[in-house]
Amino acid sequence: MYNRSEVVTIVRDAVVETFDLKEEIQNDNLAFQKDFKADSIDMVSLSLVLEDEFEAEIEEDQVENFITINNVVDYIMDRQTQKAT
Amino acid sequence: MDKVVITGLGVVSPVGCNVKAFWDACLNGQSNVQPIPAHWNNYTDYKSGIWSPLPEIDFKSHGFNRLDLMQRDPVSLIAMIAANQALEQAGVEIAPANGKNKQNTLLEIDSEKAGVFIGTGIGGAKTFLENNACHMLKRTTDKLEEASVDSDITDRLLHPPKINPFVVSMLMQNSVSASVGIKYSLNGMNRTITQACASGTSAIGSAYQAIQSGQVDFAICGGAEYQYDDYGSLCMGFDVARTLVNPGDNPEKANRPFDKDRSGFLYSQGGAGILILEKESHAKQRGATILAHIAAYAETFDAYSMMSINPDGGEITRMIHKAVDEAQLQLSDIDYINTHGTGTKLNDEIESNVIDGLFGNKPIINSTKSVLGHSIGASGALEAIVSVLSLQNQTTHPCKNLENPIRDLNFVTSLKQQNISHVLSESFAFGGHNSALVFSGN
Repeated sequence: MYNRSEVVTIVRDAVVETFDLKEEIQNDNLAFQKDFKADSIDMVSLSLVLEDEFEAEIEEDQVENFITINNVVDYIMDRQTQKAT
Repeated sequence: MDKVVITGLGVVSPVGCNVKAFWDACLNGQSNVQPIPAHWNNYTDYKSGIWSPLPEIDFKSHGFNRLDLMQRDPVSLIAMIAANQALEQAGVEIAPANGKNKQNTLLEIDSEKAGVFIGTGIGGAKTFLENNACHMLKRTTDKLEEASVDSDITDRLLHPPKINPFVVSMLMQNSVSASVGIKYSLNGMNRTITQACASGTSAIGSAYQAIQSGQVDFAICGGAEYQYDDYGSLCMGFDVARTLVNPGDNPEKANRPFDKDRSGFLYSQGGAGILILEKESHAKQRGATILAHIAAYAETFDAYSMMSINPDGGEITRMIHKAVDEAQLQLSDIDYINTHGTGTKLNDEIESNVIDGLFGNKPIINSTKSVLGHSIGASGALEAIVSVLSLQNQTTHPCKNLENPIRDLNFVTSLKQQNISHVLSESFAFGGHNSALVFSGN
């Protein structure tokens, strides 16, 4: 189980990898559509990278709720808690 | 009229993953013959049981990241590796493009007049088979595991943990040429040619025709195939059709096209052969080194059987006449024939009979499949590369393991200097497709 800070780091790195960004992310309020010009295929790609990193399935119907990086971090934290309980 | 010239070559093959290693292995007859993966025997008893695997490829060392590996079948990845080699040899500068897909652009190449023509027999079959296994078996394996069924059984029900959401875009045949077109941001014609074992030759022929007609000035063309899946299903398909070689007591010597003791073809894991073709003036304008030119392409169709060549060889004969006529040559001008030469009883019999009737024993003859095995959709492209290298080096590789030839043709049996000005390279395919290229030196 990862703490929030670790999850933030992993998610930020996954976003950098998925969108081939040249700089690290400092702001978790960045929005996928607005700031990274993400389309639905990009979000599926991001979920693949996250599944690989966390060795856990990202529910397909949840991906559309990922508006910002913070949304993803919250989702991963919730999933970890649910799994632990 | 501008010729269609060749300026770059790229190779991924069981005997080498660059042009030099490939050519050295061909000249020295260094095959890669191995037992099939042991776990394939869990699913059936193979009559052949040997294959020619690709070397392990570190895709990340070729610049592919995790998402590339998740979103591209290996057939597309090896096509891109070979394309990169060919572009480098052609002296084309590759620069990063602006975009979110790690795309590149080819400097000094007009992207609207640059095309991609790649042949493949089965495209992303690995992706299809493995994701289909997941679809069919996932719920069953979950229940078996819940019921604590013996792992000897569950371990055989191989499948990925979930279906890849990119499965369709990975399995479709056109993903190979599309992957190359996307990688280099090329907006000209983008064609996938699927003609089984003739795919690579026909793809190069299509590129040649597109340049001749002025539709493109520059083409990345060739063939790619990747014939590994977790269950050996593709190998099994050829095995039950009794097309594969009998390993006998000495598997290394079993693959012997045009020999009286031949028994079938050596199944190859696959490979990729990519050539850069250009309009001659285009190549000269940018100062590219010209390796050879394509003098003709011809294609005929047997309209006879899905799996057998017409025994009368009539359409192969007609194809050769068409190719030689288009090249404005005489049959006697052909110095070297790179045959289809699979090593199956019927194919070699018919092909050698046609050659004997048209050419006698004047041209030198070999079978590149005697070294590489049969890589289906990549084979014609790899043989085209051997043809170009033979023109450049004025020598070619021996027909490996040929001890008792079925006909008195001029088979290459040892490595020596040759006089090669014009090469005919021919391919035949399940379905009845026949295609041939004529390569000439400069």
